[in-house]
Amino acid sequence: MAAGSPPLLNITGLTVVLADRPETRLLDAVQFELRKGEFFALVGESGSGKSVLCSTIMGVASSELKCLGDIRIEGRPLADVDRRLRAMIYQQPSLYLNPVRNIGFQLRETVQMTGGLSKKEANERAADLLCDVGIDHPNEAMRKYPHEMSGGMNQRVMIAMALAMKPKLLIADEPTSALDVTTQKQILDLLERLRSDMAILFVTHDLGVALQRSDRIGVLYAGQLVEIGRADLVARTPLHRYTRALFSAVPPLSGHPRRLHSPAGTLPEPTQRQAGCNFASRCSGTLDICRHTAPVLQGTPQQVVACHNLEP
Amino acid sequence: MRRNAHKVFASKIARALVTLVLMVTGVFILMRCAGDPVTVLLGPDASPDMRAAYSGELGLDRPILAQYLAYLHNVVRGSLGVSYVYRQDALGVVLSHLPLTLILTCCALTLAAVTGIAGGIAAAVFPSSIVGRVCTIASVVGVCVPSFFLAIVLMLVFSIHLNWLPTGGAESWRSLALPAVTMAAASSAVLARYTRVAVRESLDSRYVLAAFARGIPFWRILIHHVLPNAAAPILTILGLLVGGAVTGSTVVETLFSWPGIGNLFVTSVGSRDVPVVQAIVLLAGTAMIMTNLAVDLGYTWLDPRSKSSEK
Repeated sequence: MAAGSPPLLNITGLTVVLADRPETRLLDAVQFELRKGEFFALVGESGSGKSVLCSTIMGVASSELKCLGDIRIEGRPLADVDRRLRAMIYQQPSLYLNPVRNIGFQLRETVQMTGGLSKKEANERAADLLCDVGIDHPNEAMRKYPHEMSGGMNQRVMIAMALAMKPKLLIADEPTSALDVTTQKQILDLLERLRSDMAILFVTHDLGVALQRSDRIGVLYAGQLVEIGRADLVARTPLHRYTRALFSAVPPLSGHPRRLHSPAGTLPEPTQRQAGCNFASRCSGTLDICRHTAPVLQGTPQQVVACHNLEP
Repeated sequence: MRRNAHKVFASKIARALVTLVLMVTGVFILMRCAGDPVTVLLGPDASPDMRAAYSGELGLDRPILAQYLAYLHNVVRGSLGVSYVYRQDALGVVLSHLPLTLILTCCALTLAAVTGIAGGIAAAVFPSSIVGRVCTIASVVGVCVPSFFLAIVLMLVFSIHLNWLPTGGAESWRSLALPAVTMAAASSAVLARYTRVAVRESLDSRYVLAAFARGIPFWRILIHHVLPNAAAPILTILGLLVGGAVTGSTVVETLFSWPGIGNLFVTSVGSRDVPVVQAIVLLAGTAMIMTNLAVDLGYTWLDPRSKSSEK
């Protein structure tokens, strides 16, 4: 990590609550930063707040939510930042493409958002972008509608649309979960190739993908970031009991299959979250302090953890 | 793709033709069920000899299948019999009333389409603003208030109290205003409700969310993303309203003594003018089938997905 250069994305104390019920916290004091060229994997189970975090950074969070805290891109608050600096791709690309408009229209429209391009220039730029994401016959593809393309192709189109704005931050919300393994690898390779120009916030369920592709992994549990660290460290020596539980729930690829462990209980609903650590009700090392004071992230520059009781 | 579109077109037309034949058959059967035409023509006091003579003359003594085929033959030739009241070709009588009905329905439907679609969009886009609320409330009221009641209220206010507009007739353009507004009110309200739902659904969709995230301005999203998606359900309702307008004008035409087809229908039923009634039913049915056909073809133009789903 190059110290000195300001982080591309800096989030401090981000708390997202329901606007009409402020005691219901969907995100609780989330704090992390992303540097240029970094591939950051955010893992966590369904309902942990991953998608809320993405839409908050994108500035398209529902009006029923209220965001407290600070999000900065290149040191400037979100409201002052050009929207084109951040782009997002999604899990089911075909739902995020307009079904009654062809690919060319949607891509051209996005390209023209950058301003000052004639229709012909926009068309050429759109074709170039489709080539960049590995679509061989761009002019043919632009005449097609989303339903005439495969999921992998639609995801490429989504990525091309994201690239059209030359973003510095790309948020990828489970972009490969709905794709078959071969396509998944192609899309991941494509993202890998793009990362030098931007930072990628990669949201995933897939711990294998997170470990293999990312520089750092952040673990989100019930709206709290419980551990952040270098991918290999988090996978090999997880410090938080939730992270340990998460990695022990992955079946081993080699050797004798063993019984998979999952922590007892379920993720607390946002309405049932108490003060303190949200994992306390399922944790094997709960202390008194865990029930009333939320732990903060601390540790080495390579790995930080939010836990009051680090004894094994 | 092009050949596929032709195939879709051909199958829709074939389906429309089958529906037309079924409708003609239905009219034939219903008319035979409605009572003995001889009794209707001659009255209940006619002597058996006269009845037999008439039956022979009208071909009613022939087998029912032969009668049906003869009727079908006449319908295809465009002959629907002679009106008992007007002593003219029934179809001619109906067609002579058609222009006035067309003027009334065109005005009413244009009014309904403009106000209904605009109101529906406003209610969907600004659900909590004054404009949106007014549109929503107006559409609920419009759906609930029956046209005969609205007609009387409008007459009381604009004709009797203010004395601005005539209560009926078709002498000048001024007499068109009240019936057109009355007819438009209910259609506009129905259209507004469906438009609101369709636009709301599209606004809440993920492709609109993604378009917002790409920084595309709201009005561009509304015009280029939301409305094209909401168009199909709106077209469906518009088609039903157009198809129903020919017969739906009956109540309004009667109330405002507008001498169109609806009015003719009511008087013809009263005077048992069977050929005219028959001609109107066929005409209304044909109008319905034609608009349905137009709507079906409209779908393939509006929604590229319907091209590949139809075989």
